[in-house]
Amino acid sequence: MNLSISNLSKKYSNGVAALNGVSLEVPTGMFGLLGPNGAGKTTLMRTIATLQEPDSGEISFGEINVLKDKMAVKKVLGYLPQNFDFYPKESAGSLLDHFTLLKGIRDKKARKLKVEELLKRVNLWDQRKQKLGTFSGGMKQRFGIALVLLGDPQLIIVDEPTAGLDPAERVRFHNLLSEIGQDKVVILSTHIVDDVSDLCPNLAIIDQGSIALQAKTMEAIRSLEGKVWEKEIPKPEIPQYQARYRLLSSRLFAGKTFIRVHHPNNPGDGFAPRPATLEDVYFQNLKR
Amino acid sequence: MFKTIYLKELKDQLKSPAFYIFAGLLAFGTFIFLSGTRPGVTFLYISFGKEWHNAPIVIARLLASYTLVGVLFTMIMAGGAVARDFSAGIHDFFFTTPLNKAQYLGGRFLGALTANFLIFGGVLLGMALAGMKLPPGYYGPFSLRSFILPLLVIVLPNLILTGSVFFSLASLTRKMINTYVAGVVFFLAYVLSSIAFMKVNNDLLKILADPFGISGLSTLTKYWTVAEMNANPMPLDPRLLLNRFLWLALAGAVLYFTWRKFKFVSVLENKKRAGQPVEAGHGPGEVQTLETLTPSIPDYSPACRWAQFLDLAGREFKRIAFHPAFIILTFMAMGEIFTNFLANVNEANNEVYPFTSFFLQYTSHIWIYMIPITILFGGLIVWRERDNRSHEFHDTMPVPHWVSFSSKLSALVSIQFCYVLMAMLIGIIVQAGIIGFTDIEPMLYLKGLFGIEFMKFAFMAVLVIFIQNLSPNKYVGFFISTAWFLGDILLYEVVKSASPLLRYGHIPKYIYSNLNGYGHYGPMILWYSFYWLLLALLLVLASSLLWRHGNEGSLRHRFRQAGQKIRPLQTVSLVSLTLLFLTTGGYIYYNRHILNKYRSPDGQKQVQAVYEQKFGKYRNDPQPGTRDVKLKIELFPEQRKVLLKGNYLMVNQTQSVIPEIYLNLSDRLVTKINRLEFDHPAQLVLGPEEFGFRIFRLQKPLKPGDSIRLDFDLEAEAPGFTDNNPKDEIAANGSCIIFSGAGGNTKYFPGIGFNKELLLTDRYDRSKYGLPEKSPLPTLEECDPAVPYSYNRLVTFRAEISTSGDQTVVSNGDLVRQWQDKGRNHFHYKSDIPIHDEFIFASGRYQAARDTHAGVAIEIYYDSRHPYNVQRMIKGVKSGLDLANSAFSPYPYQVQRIVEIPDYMEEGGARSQPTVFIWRESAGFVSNLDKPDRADRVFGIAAHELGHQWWAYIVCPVYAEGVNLPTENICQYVWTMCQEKEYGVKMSRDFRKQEMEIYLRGRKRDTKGERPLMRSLDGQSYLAYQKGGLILYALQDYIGEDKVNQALENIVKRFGFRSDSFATSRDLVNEFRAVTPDSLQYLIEDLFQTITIYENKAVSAESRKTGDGRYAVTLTVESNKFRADSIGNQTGIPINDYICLGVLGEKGEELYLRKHKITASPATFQITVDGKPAKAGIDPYLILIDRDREDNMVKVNNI
Repeated sequence: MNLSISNLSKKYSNGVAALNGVSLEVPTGMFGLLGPNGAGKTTLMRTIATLQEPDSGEISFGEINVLKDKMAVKKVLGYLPQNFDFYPKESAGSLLDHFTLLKGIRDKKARKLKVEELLKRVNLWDQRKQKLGTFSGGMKQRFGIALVLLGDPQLIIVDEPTAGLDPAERVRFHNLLSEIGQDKVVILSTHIVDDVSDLCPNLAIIDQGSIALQAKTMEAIRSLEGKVWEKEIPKPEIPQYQARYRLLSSRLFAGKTFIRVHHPNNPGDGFAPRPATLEDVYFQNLKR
Repeated sequence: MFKTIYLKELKDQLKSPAFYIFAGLLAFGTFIFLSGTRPGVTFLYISFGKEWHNAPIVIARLLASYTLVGVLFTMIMAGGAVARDFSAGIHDFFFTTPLNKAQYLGGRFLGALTANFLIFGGVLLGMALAGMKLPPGYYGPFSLRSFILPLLVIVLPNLILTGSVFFSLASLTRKMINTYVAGVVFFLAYVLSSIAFMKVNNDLLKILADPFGISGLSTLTKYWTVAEMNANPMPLDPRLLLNRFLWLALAGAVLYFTWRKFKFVSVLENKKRAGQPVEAGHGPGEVQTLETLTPSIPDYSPACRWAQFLDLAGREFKRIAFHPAFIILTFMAMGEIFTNFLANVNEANNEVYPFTSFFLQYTSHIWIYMIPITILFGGLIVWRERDNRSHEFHDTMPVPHWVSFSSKLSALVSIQFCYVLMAMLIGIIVQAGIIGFTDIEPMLYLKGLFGIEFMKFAFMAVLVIFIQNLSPNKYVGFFISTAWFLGDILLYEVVKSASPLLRYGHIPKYIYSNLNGYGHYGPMILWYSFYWLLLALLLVLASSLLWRHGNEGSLRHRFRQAGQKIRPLQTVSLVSLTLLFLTTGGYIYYNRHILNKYRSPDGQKQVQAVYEQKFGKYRNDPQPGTRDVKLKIELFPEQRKVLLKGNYLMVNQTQSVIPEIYLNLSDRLVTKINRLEFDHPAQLVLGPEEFGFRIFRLQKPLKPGDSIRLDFDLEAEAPGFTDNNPKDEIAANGSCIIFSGAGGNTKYFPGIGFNKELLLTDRYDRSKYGLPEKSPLPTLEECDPAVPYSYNRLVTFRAEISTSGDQTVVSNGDLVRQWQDKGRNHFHYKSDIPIHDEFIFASGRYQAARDTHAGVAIEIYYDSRHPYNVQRMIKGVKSGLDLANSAFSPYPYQVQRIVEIPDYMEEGGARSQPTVFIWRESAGFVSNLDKPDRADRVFGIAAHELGHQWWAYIVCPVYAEGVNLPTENICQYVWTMCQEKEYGVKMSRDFRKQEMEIYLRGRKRDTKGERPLMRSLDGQSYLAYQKGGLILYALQDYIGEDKVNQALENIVKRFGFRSDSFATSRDLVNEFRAVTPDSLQYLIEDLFQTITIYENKAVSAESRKTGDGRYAVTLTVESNKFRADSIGNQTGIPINDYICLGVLGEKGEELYLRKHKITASPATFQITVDGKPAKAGIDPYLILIDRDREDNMVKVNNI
C-alpha cells in the first residue's frame, strides 16, 4: 500500500502558508521527511494523521481517502507525535492496556499478551508498574513507540522522534524503527540528516511548505558524488566565499573553519574533493 | 539575610493573583453584608438589628468570622510559602546560601503572615463602600479604632495560629497537599466542636475553647443592647485576652517545633523516592533479536465500544475521586451535611424526629458544593489529554467522538451520583445509627436526592462540559462557567428576577409535606425536570457533534465538520428535541401564567400596594357585620376543587347609615362565581378590581340595626401546576381552608369592607411602592375601645361539608351529624352559641385520638405517621382547661379539637379558632421530647392555644398598642403555670431561664425598638411570648397566683362575649393594680409600664456554725435597677425592692428562700439556716429580668 499525497495546501489564520501544493508518493518501507524547523513537516504529519484539515488537496492510503474516512485511517495508523507526555500518575502497563483497548482489542487476555509483548519489545517490561511521571525522556519515547506499534499499523508516522535523545537512546530508537519498517509505510519526519541516512531508503526534503526533492537516498547522494569540495579558511572570509561559490555548509573542527561547496568540477583555490553525504544533498536543496 | 527573605516572600505573595482575589472577596463580602438594609439577614452567623452597621462589635465579629473562612486563604498563603520552593525545586539554592534555618523559616513565615494580614485591608474598602451606599442612620461615625482593635486582638493572633500550623506542615512534609488535608480537618473539627459547645453552659469554657475568639466575642456581648453595641468598643475582657494568650502560646510552640525539626537538606531521608526513574535497556547499539509481534484482531463492535467507554469513564472517575480538591470538598460537604442535619434535629429545646423530609430540607443547599466540584472537574476532564499532552495519541485512536465525550460526561455524573449516595448514607446513619429512628423512607430519598438533586447536578455537568468543549482553553472555560453560576445565583437568589423557565436546570421552589408528600408540586417538579432534561439532551448532542478533535480547535472549523458529519438520525433528534423542548416550555408557561396567573411575591406586594392606593380611602367607612354564617362546602381533594355555597346575615352594628357595601372576592382563588348577590336591591358601581374589590350601592341605604343577607355560590379549582401556588390550601391530603372573619382576609369567601390584612407592613416594602409609613397601632390614650383588634364578629354558624370517602373534615362548633353518601363523607358542624367568625375546614386522612375532661370532649386529628406527641397535646389541653375553668370562666363549649395541617403555611406553629386549633405538622407533631429533662413545649403550646379561647375570642383586645397583654401574654402565663403544675418547679425554672435568654437576645434584634409590655406592638414576638410569660410569672410570684387569676376573672366578666367593648392592656394593668397590695404597687410600673432590668449579683457569703447546730450566713449582694429606652440605653434608678434571697444546701436543696426589701447596693444580710449551706445569693430562680444571670449565686465560705 502506498501513501499518496497530492496538491496539499494549508494556510494558517495568521497568514503562514504551512503547506504549499505538496505532492508526495510514499512507498512501503522507511521514508524520511527532512526539513528545517518550521518547514511544514509537523503540519504534513498531522494532516496525514487526521489531526488537521488541509485547505485543499487529497491524501489517499491504498484504498482509503484519508481526509474523508478518518476512522478507517485511524484503524491502520500508528502515530508518534512530536511533543507528547502522559498522565503522570498512571503506570506504564495500565496505560498501555488502556490504549490497547482503544485500538479495539477487547479480550482481556489478548490485551495482556499484547501489553507484555510490546513492553518487552521497547524494553520497558521491568518498568511496567512504574508511573509514567517518573519516566525519562527516552523511556517516554520508547513508550510512545509501543503505542505506535499497537494494533498492527500499516501506516506509521513518527514526528521528530530523536530530538532530545542522547546518543545511546537514539541508537536504540533507530534499531526499533528499522525493525518495524519492513513491510509498512513508515514516515520519519526529522531535521536530523543522520536519522534519514541511517534508516531511510527513500526521502523527501521539504522547505517552506514545498517539496524540494523527492528521491531514493542513495541516488540523491550519488548525484552529488565528485561535486563536493572542502577547504579550511579563516572565519571572516566566509562571506567572500559565499559570494563566489555555492556554499553548502561551514563547520568548525578543532577550532578551525572548514567550508564545503558544490562545484561541478575542481574549483582549485585550495579546495580538496570530499565524498558526498546526505547532508550535502540536504543543504543543496534548501532555498537560500 | 532575614530581611531579604522576608521582602522576597512578601513581594512574591503580593505579586500572586491569590492575594488580590482574597482581598477582593473580603471587600465584596463586607460590602454586601454591611450595605444590606434588610434587617435580620444572617451572614457568617452574624446578623444585626437596629445597631449601626459599622458598630465596633459588628466589625469585630465580622473580622473574627473572616479569619475562620480565611483558613482557606491562610492555607494557601502560609502553606505555600515554603512548599513553593520545594515544588519549584529551588530549595537547594536557598540551602546552599549562608542562611540559617531561623532566617529562612522566619522570613518566609513573616512574609506570608504580613501578606495574609494585608488582605484584611479589603474589609476596610468594603466598609467604606458600604458607608457610601447606605442611607444615613445605618452607619455611625467612622472610627479607625473599632477596626484596628479587633485587627490586632482577633485577626493577627488567629492568622499566626492557623498560619503556623499550615506553615509547619508544609515545611516539614514539603508537600502542599498536607496543608489542604489539614485545612479540612481544622475546619471540620471547628464546626463539629462548635456544635458540641453550643450545649455548654459555662461561659469561661466557651470563651477559652474557641481558637478564633468568635464564641468569645458573641458570649461576652450576647445581651448588649443596641445602644451598647453602637457605643462600646469590642470587649477586652481578661477571659478573652487569656484566650488570645493561650492560643498564641500554642502557635509559638508549633513554630519552635518547626524550627527544630526542619532540615536544610535537599532530600528528606528514610523515604524512598518514588520519583527516581530506573533507567532500563541495553547498552548502546546493542541490537536485539526480536520475535515478530502476534497479530492483533481489532474489534469495533458495540461491545468493544462499551468496553472502551467503561474504561475511559472508569479512569476519569478514579482520577476525580482521588483528586485532593475533590476529597477536600466532599469531606467539607459531607461533614457539613452531617452536622447540619444532626444539629437541626437536635436544636436545643426544639428537638425533632429526623424525618427524611427534614434531611432533604436541611441539605437542599448541597448544590453549592457541587458547583465548584463540577466546574473544576468538568474543566479538568475535558482538557485532560491536552493538559497531559497525550491528546495526539488519543485523537488518532480509532475511537468515535461520542465514546470519548460520553465517557467524560458519565465520569463526572457518576462522581455526582456518588456524592448524592454519600449524602443519603449520611442521612440514614444519622437517622438510624445515631438517633435510632426507623421511619427511613427510602423512596423519598430516591425521589428527593436522586430524582431532584442528582438531576440538578447532572444538568450542571452537561452545561459545564458543553462550555468547556467550546472554550478556546480551560481557563476561559472556568471563567465562563464560574460567571454563569455566579450570575445565576445573583440573578435568581439575590435579585430574584426572571422566569424559572429561563433558569437552566432549576426547579422552582416547592413545599414538601409529610402529610401530602410532594402533592400538587409533584407534577411541577416532573415537568420542569423533563423540560431541562430535553435541553440537557440537546446540549449533549451538540457537545458530541462539536467535540474537540485533533489540532483544529476553532469553532468555525468544528461547526463545519459537525455540519458535514451529522447523520440523519442526529438531525432528526436535534430538530425533534428542540421542538419538544419548546413545546414543554410552552406547556409549563401555560400552566404557570395562563392557568394559574402566576404572581411573584414582589408582584403580589405590588398589587397589594395598588389595592391600598386605590381603595385605602374606604378603610374606615362603616360596614355591616356578620351575625350568622351558613355554608355548604363540597371539597374534592384529589381534583383539588371546592364548591362553596352559603350566605352571611349581616347587621349594621354602627351608628351610621351604610349606603354602599364593599366586597372582596379574589379572582385568583375563586375561579367561577355562580351567584353573588344581596337580598336587597343593589347595584355594582365599581369592580371587580384588585383582589376582586367591588362596591355595591344599595338602593335603600342600610340603617343602624337593619340587616342584609349576602348569598353566594362559588367554585375554586387549582388546575395544573405552578410555583408559589396560591391554592396550597386545597391539597390531596391535608386541605385547610381558613375563613378568618368576613371582615378579614377571607380568601375563598366573599369579604366585607376594605381588607386591612392586605396592607403592606414592612417598612421597606412600603417605601418601595411609595406608600406612607404605616401608622402603628393607636396609643392607649387615643384608641377607641369599641374597635376590636380582629375583624371577627360573634356569629351563629352552620356548615355542611363533604369530602372524599377516606377523609375526615374538622371544623368548629359541634359535630351534629356525620354520614356517607355516594362514597363521600359528609359532616354537619354548627354552633348555636355565638362564636367568632374564624373557621377552619380541614380535610385529611386523619387518625383521631379522643378524650374527655371536665365535660369537654378533646379530639386530636393527626397523621398516622405522627403519633408521637398526641398524648402530650391532650394533657396540655386538660391542664389548660383545669386552670382556665377555675381562673377565668367555665369553658363554654362542648369540645376542643386539634388538627394537624401540612407545612404549606410557612409561618407560625399553631393557630387557634373557636373550639379548634390547627397545628402545623413540623411545629409540634414531630417534636422529639424523649429527653426527660427538656421542657415539654408541645404540652405548653397546647395549653397556650387553649388559653386563646378566652384570650382572643371570649375576651377580644382593642385595636391599640399593648394588644399582646390580653392575648399572647396571658396565654404564655397559662403555659408557664400549667407546666409548673404538671412538671414541677425545676422544669419551670429551666424553661424560664431559656425564655429569658430568648427575650434578651430578641430585644436587641428588634428594629421597632423595645417597648414596655403595656405598649407592645404586634410582631414583637419576644415581648408577646417570652417577656409576657416571665413578667406574669413574676407578678404571681409576688402577689400570688389567686390574685392574678382574680384579676383575669374580672376581665373575663367585664369583657367576655362582648361585641361593643373590648379589653385594652390598661384594663388588665388596672385589674392587676387593684389586687396588688400597697407595698408592691411599684411592681406594676416596673413590670408593665416600663422596661425595667436588674443586675443582681451575689458578692460574698460566709457561714458560721452557731451554738445550736445551725448556720449563720452573712450574705452580701448587689442589686442595681435600671430603666431602659427602646434601644437599650440604661438609666440607673434607686433600689427599693423586694427581692428573693436564697441559701441552698449541698444538694441544691432550699435552706432559705424569702423576699427581703433591698434598699441599698451592696447590702449585707444575716440569715440563719438549719442545714449546711453551699451556695447563697440573690434572686436564685430568676424571677426578675436580669442581664447577667450567672453571678446571682456564690459559694458559701464556711468558717
